[in-house]
Amino acid sequence: MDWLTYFALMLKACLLSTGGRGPFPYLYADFLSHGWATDANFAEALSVGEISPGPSGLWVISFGYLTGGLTGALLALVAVTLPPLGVLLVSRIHQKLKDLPATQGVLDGLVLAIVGTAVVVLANLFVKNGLDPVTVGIFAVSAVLMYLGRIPSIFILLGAAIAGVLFL
Amino acid sequence: MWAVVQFAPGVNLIALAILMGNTLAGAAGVVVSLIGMLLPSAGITIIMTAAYATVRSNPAVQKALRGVTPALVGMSIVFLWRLLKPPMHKLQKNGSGPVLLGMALVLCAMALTAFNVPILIIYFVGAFVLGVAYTVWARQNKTEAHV
Repeated sequence: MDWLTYFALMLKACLLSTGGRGPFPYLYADFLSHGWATDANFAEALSVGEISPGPSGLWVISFGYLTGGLTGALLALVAVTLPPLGVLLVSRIHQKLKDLPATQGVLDGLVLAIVGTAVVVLANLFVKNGLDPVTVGIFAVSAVLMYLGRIPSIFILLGAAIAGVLFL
Repeated sequence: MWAVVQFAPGVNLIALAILMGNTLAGAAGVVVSLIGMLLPSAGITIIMTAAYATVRSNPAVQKALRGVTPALVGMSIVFLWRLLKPPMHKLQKNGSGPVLLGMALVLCAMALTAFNVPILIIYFVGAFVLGVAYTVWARQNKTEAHV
């Protein structure tokens, strides 16, 4: 394993994204192309990240463990920790930038691009997992339950896991 | 503070902890905030993953994972929908043309991703196009207000 490249790709994913799942499209593209991860690793890490305490972005640490053992997890922890330090710089220039139309445009444009990219990456993950009536049903039910927001995500995942064991 | 955090790279909650720590006690506050937030949660995440890794080859676990994956995708699609709504509402206030531009940007990002264009370029295109568009619309609105 080339740990320097491994860390650089982790850091790039965390630095050039925002939010907990922001690094997902970068890591999906880079780690699959290097042969360092499988589609299953992403589902596994996102699941652990969803049910473990702390920020949802810590799924990257789980992903690090699954792809690089304890070293991978620790490198992922550093990669997740460093980019948010940029907030100290941002807080100094925020007052000057926040009212510029371009600033809001850049942020909104970034969100639209992230959504478009993530939809395709998620569709890839979904199709490679195997398309059948059960998986399509789990997808639809989970989306509806998440949209209604009445059931915690951990229970949605638990239900999906049980459905997987029983019907797949 | 949350408004500032949204401009920062990386995980928002970690950035918030850093900013709060810095406001309360400077560099020492940043270190304590990071340790307080990340040490327990990262430790538990690693332990949970390590425990999972010992049973991942079990056929029942593999079936469970096959069930969890579409659920994660479904939940993420809803998350993306919620992420998409605020900018689309802002575009709607400027008329139907900007809404179409927003939809075109999402479709463009999807197409470029499908053709394996580097994600950084896709993000840059989205940010650049709306950055310019918002500036132009703001100038137009100013001119119309003067007239």
